[in-house]
Amino acid sequence: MATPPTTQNNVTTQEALLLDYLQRLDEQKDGRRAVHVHLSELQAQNRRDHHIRMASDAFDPLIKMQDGQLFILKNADLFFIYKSDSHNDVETSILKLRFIFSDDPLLESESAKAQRQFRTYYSVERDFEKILSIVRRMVHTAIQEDEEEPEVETGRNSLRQKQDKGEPLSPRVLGRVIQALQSADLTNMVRRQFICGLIGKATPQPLFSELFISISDLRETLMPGVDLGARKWLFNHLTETLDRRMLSMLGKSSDRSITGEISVNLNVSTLLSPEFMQFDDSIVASMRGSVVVELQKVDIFSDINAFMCARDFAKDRGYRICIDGLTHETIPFVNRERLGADLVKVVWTPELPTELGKQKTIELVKSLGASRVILCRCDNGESIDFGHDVSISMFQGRFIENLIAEEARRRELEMARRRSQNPDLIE
Amino acid sequence: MADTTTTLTGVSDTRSPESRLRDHVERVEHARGDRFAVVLNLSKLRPQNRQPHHIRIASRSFDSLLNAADVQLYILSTSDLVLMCKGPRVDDVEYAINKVRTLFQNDPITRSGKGGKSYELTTWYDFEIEFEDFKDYVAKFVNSPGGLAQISEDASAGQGAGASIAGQPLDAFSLAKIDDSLNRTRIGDMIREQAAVIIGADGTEQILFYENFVSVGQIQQRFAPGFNLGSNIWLFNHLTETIDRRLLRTIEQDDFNLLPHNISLNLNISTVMGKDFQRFEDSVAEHTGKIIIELQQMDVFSDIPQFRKARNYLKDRGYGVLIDGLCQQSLWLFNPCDLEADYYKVGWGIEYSETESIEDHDELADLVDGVGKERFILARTDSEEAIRWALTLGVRRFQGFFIDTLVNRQIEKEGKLPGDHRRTEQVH
Repeated sequence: MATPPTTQNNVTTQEALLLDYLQRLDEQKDGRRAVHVHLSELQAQNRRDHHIRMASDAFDPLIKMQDGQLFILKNADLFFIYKSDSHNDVETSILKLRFIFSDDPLLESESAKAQRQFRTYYSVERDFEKILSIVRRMVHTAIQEDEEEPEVETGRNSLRQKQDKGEPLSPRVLGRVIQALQSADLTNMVRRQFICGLIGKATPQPLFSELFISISDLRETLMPGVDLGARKWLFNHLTETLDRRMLSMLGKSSDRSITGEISVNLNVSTLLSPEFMQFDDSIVASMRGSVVVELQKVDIFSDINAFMCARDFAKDRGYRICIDGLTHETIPFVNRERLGADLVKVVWTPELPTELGKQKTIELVKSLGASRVILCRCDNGESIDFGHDVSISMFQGRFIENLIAEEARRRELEMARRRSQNPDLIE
Repeated sequence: MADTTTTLTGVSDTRSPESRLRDHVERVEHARGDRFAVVLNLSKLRPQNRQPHHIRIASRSFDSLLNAADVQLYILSTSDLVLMCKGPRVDDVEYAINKVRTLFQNDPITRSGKGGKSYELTTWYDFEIEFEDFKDYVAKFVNSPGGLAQISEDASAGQGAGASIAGQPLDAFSLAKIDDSLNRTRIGDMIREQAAVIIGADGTEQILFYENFVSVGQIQQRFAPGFNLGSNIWLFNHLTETIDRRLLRTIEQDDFNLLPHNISLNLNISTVMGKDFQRFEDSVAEHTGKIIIELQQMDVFSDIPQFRKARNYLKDRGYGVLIDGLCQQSLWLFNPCDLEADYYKVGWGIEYSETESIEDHDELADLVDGVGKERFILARTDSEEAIRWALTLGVRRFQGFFIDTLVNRQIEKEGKLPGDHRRTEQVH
């Protein structure tokens, strides 16, 4: 069972993330460059969600090679920080973008001025302070816009928001989507995110990875213009279909990348279904111990008896149970031990320190069992610091993904350095 | 329920498991040495524990036994499981049965309390001694009809619970059609009411409120014959949003000035925060104090911030707020008293009195105290025993079939109940 898409709390994080990244880059500025792509200058019809995604995809090969880090800002601008060696590749990506948006007035002229209007290159070492001040300003504007939004011209804004979000999901649309899902290939929509142990400033240690179907990709592919979050009960029903597709992918998969310790989000009804029995049959007994089943809290309340039945069955088979989606509002209601869950996931929001407070959170984390709590959706360093303050040591989120990528890059560099010093070195 | 009548013998066979079991019994009649059978009396589980998925999971507990020994499993249409065994160690069989016992640990069948003796989970038949008894057991289902769930009209059983009528599972397209027809139809005649009462120290009942609810059984009969509306909880919940809007449309035509008693309405939080409720409010005007809004625990816990918003909105305007759909486990697992509602409706389960120990009873008493005795309403009160049990905990507010009987009896005797100022002709 996936969680409904929310737009909350992610808005400023990319800017904050970028600032955080730059600040940590302070020590290793040399040999790095940056490019700021001003997609915000494009005409409105050219900077819809899928345009931005297409644009950011152009940097994918570089990101995969761990040659750079991409930030997609609130105003749709892209900020890419990369190794100078890859400058030619970056120029190629920019060329691709020029092609994608070639019909926009911004790109009609080939003049140097027009070029600069579309993208700005920086040398991180030389222009560090300048970049820093630009990004600081962006963080500031993003926060301000966020605060101002509800007050200014609410009518127009709510209309625009509604148009952006699209029409609410209806039973008929849901029916069509479920039909389409029976035959759609979802493998390219499966995403993976690591849950890591992170203590102090040490390197994050991946413990297991959550596999999930990207709801925004799904929405874009199968139901553009539909607001999935608006009808929570229908959305929950959709996740039941996604569960079954995920299980069949996992059961069949010979893909080595999805072995290892994994977690999947499922409905209680899925755990009790013949499809889960089939999945259970198809995987080797030893693998069950390495599968964590994540259940949403709403699902527990929908039928406590069914939850207990599913939980006992899954645990008896060797699966581990994680209760997903706790927030500062719901943690006080949850007794992990009584629920018989092995793990719980608490969603990071800035309200956690402000609404619940550090002292209260420490108590609650202690009652849940500090070694059983995962802080998820960690988008910035602040979330990790707060987690550490309240004795949480397991984390998940984009910030962690970046740390992992960075660590991999560092290791690669280290290996390259050692190789160059000692040509006989064998990895 | 077709999926419960299968066996796990691995052989494709279209005959019923009962008929195959009878063949099996005949085959072993002359080779009884080392053989025995174990019947798991799952047909005696509480109906809510006897859903197809429960039986499916229970049957899976024997997987390793079936692989390792000469054992065959038959899943009968009554939900009973029959293990036909040749020579496995009793301990191994018992080990697998204990897994089933854990699955149903909340059901009286797995407990050995007072009154529990008639609900033994297992019956063992040693074929060298008790073969004839077993043959009698098997012979019993030759003419046994399949047990269909009955339509329940107990509002206090919670939305959805009363909808477990056999039929085709609901799908999104059918839901769309049902939604459309519901939106076009007046549903005034499908609205039922059920009293919630306070039992005073002298044993007489006084009306607390009348819950107005739409009969899901009737909705199903009229708009979705052949479908089981309760088959998917999420689709059913979506349907209740439509039902909410139709219910409000009907009730808002009442003259709240003349309302003879307090009423309660079971609504989704999304409905309370929506346009239709605002319209409803216009007609309620200053009479909000006569109306209690019931919210389902699932809805509440799925989005607590939204619940708080709705609760404050309602309370600020003078409505009462009730959390519905609670049960003993939900009180134990999640402490709902911080939700600051006016009432908490907790479903009666027979297991409370049948199998509970003194410790269990004390623990429950603590839970009741936590919620507040005067805020606690025992729902699904279906027997005098339920009332007696609740009174020992200090609970005096009730709703359910048994209460309906009491209320009707009193109305017949005296024309009306204290607290009920309706004109009597309205009742009949």
